Amino acid sequence: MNVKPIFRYQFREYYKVFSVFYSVIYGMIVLSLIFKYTRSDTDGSIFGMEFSTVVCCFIIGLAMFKSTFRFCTACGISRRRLFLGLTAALAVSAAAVSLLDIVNAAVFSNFIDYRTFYSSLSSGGSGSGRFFTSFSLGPAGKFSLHLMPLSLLLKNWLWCLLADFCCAMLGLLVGVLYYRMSKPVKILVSVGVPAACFILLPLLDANVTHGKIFQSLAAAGVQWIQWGLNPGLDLLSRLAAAALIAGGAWLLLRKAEVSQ
Amino acid sequence: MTLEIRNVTKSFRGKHAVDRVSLRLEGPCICGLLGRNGAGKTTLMNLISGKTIPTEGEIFLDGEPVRENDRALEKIFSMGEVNYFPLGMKVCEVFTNLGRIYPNFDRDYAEQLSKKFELDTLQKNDKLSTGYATILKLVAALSSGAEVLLLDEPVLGLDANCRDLFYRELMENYAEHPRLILFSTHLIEEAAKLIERAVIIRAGQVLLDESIDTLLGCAYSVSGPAGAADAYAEGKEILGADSLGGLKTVYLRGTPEKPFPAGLELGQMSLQKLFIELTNH
Repeated sequence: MNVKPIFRYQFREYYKVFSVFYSVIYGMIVLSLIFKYTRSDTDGSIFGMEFSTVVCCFIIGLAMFKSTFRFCTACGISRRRLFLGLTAALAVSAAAVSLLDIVNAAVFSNFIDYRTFYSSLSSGGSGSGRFFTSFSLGPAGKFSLHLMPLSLLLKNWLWCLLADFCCAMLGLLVGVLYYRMSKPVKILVSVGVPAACFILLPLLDANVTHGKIFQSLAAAGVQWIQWGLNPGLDLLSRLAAAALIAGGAWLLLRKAEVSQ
Repeated sequence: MTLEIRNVTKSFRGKHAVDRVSLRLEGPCICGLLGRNGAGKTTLMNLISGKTIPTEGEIFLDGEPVRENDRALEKIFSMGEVNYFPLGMKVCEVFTNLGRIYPNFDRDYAEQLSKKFELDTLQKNDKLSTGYATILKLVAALSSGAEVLLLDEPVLGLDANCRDLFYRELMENYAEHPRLILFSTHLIEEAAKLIERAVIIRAGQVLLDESIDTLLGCAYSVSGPAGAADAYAEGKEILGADSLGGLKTVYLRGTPEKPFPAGLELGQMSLQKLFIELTNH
């Protein structure tokens, strides 16, 4: 099954999007550097840039599905081949951008206090900071390439890669879901899901279950974070999440039709 | 090559857009798919190309099911009224991407045709006028190298010069690369010069599937004084009639009597007239 045409086409489209995205990122870094070196009363710092990469990955998964699906299906590409091509393109893009984020951290940490998402969680050495110290990227949360063992860098890259990939696949899942929904259902979901999550669920938890729902969710979150202490479990849990999301996206895509 | 549609139905919200259609089309052949607006032509073509999924039934190409079968799908190129090329993609980029998808895509021929039709290959496809957007799709279709071409309203928005050029290029291309071409159009008189076989579809069902010679050979017109024309038509299958003053033209199915009565004029029915009379009821 030749997925190369789809992969090449999608990768080029993602490249255009990430080019614009990283232009903005580098622009912000340059501004921070200018701010740092022109003001004597502050050092300046940058942190959590790779979180924006995660969001960008979600958006490309979400936004690029419709036009690609219509084009590829109209050109006689089966939905299976399209799905594999999309997944491959998203995976390679996630690998590339997560690696680029590590390289950015390595380069810019020489000029400014550049903290990655991981290291920003480890700052302060207490509470959640201490929790993450064991796999933070350096002492006091600072990214210091010369202090990093290769295994830690690799783990960090894998963590970012899987976070980016999961979010990209989640974007694809949401994109296919919205594509398949009729207009009334789209409105219902767009309004109903946020209302359910942010209004109904808290009300239900406060008045009926007396906090048990959010306690369970918090416990699940803590459990997931604890899994993160074990690199193997962390990797497996993210792979499982990615597989689950990809499975959902495929089930929706296989019956999708090109609308007139 | 053989395209076989077996008992295919496609329903949208309980309504059958295509209703238990069975067809067997043998290539090489240029086959006209004719029908009124909403008859189901586009839906049928979308089912063949895989854009939509049949509610029931199956479609086969050379014995292989088409659905989710890349080997069969890459032999089919579908050109529709709607433009499926991504926004912002230039014409030359469309050719590049099609060249990667269709193994027999002829890039040189696409460039030659673009020059003949004066299509600017550096222009973005969504910025083209209606006519040039159609020309892009035509060029892509003729250059695809696919064994089955599905052309849905291929001359939509084209001026007479471009239509003439397209028909000539189509025939030249067909002569060099004989294949199965399924051609749907509302310009029946123009298509009649090209098509070898006609499939007439009405309300999602196949009304007729015949070669053009057979189709036109079994219908004729009789013109003359109204009384004489009516007398001749009595007992025969009447497709329709036109009156003007005391003169009447009656359209009949079958073959004319021999000897033909004097005072009446025998004429051949055009494909368009036959189509109108068959689908008027």
